[in-house]
Amino acid sequence: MTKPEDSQVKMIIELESVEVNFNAGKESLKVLDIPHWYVKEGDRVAIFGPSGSGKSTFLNTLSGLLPASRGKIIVCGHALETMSEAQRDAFRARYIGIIFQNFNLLHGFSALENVLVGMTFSPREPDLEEAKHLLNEVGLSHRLNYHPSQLSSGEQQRVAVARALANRPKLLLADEPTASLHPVNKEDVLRLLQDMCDRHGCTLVLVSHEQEVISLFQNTVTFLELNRAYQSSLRR
Amino acid sequence: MSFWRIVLKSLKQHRFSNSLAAISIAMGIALLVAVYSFKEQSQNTFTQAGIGVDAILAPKGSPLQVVLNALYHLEDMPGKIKWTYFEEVQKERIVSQAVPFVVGHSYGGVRVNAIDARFLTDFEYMPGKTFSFSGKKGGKGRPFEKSHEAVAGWEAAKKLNIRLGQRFNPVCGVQDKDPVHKAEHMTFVGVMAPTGTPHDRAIYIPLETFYGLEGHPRETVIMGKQEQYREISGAYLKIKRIRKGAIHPGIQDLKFAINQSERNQLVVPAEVMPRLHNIIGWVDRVLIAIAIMLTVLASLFLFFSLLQSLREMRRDLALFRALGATRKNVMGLVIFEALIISLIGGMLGLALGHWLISLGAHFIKIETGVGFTACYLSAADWLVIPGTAVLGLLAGLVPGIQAYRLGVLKNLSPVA
Repeated sequence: MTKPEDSQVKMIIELESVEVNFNAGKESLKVLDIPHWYVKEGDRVAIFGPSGSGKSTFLNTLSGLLPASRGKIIVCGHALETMSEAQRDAFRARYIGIIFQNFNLLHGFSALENVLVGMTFSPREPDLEEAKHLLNEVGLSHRLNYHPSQLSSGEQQRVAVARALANRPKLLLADEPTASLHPVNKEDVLRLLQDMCDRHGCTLVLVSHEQEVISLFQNTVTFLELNRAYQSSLRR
Repeated sequence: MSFWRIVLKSLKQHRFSNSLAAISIAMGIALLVAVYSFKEQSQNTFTQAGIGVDAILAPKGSPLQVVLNALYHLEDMPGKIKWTYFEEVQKERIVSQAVPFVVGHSYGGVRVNAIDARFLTDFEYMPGKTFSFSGKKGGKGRPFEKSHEAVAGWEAAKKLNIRLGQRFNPVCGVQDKDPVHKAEHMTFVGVMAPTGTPHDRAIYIPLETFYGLEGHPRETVIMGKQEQYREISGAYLKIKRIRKGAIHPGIQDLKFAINQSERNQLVVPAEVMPRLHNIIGWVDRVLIAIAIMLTVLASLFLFFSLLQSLREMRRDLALFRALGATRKNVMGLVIFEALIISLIGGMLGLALGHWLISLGAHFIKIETGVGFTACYLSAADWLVIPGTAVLGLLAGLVPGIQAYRLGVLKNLSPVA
């Protein structure tokens, strides 16, 4: 989207001339080339694109896990391109929640401990009651001490949602959150995600290659439109 | 969930390999602690400068055997010396004190030495210190005064649970099956306060009493009555001091003169004991080298075990990073894990080492009579905790650096 003229509208993501290049041997491969993109605070944005189009790279850039090669990236009011890696780690711990395609739960930890780990590196003190409350909100109050291997894939993703919200993030980034789920669970998890974002007042940016997932969102973006690097790769 | 809780969780996750690493460190440390303790305790026991005897007038034989028998109540005396010869030596101008004794009796596995009464009252076992029977110092009773009275050294009394007034029959010899002087009832009248020297490990009876003990041959009985026939096992000699407390150099001339005789010799403990240590010192060094190698190998085991754990933990560490952990956080996690394993190993090793000492001390006591204690703290004990901490840090450093360098994205979900 273009930047609104209305100065009252608060932006949570502002990208300008962002490029991410990967080294492929001696050559540099441009993976992301985004002229500009803005997301308002509180929005629910779904980005559609096929596998290999750079969606995860895009989310990793927004979360500060991957520094951009050039351009301006302001997320939650912080210019990521000016931050050191340690500052980006602290930024992520404070403002960002991440949900992964393959859940990425810690297998040696119970559901409750997984959520608590989500609080550990944030500036807040880990709060047991809040962790229980989050699991209760995602419908897992009866599975607090279950380990990931004892949970279904739908339940695992619910734990991942609770963990992503554990640090009270302003921005929730969901990377193919339903790709590993049974079709029956997909809609449930997506509704839960939107519902949790409403309740916790955070902005959601979700990427998916599944059309049926995107169709559940009003604010959708196709990655082809957003990423000029992907456009060029298709032309080649 | 605190950082420490995560460290403990991680330790628990790899408990099998971590336990093995801790146990192997403990074994190396235990051996090191035990060897050092035995080394230091034996050095303390056999090189006590303050044992108070400058020289021993003794029969010809191995000087080491003489020292072990006369001072440490081990081995046997190689023969006897004439009382008349002892009196000659006693008159030498550099001899300030001479205390004759006879060895060869025992009670309950403890040596019973017949000795001149001045030993208990005038003999300085350390500069300025004579034996005490004061209750305040841990002793009780008094020195012997009559023929069938006896006193016990502090350790001997403790070992045999000796009470004042208790009677005993000395054994004519130092072996279990040697005959007992059944008709001779000696009575304990004193227990000497602890001195921390081998003198604590013997029982003492009056010198004259020895010759008249029932069962001794007629010649021995005569020795008690007629000095010209009397023989003794040896005598402790104190040599006069010159400036700054140094022993009179005339001791060398005296030694030379006595050693010229056919039956006698003068043994200087300060010259003999270092020779003993030169002989057994290499055993210490080999054992310490083995213990150090074992500990280093255990640390290498810890190192490889941590590397293996790190391989299994890559995804978890990457996830921590994604959740906001810094590179230093994940490096710290791995290093603290190594530190905890090595410290647990170190503490286990300390406990195991002291248990080994108590076990070894029991057998050494039975075999040689030399007392070692598991409570002794050697230099190694003080170095175990800082030493294992350093080993843990070293073992955890490379895996920690690998964790620091870990690529987050590479170890997380695949690129969509």
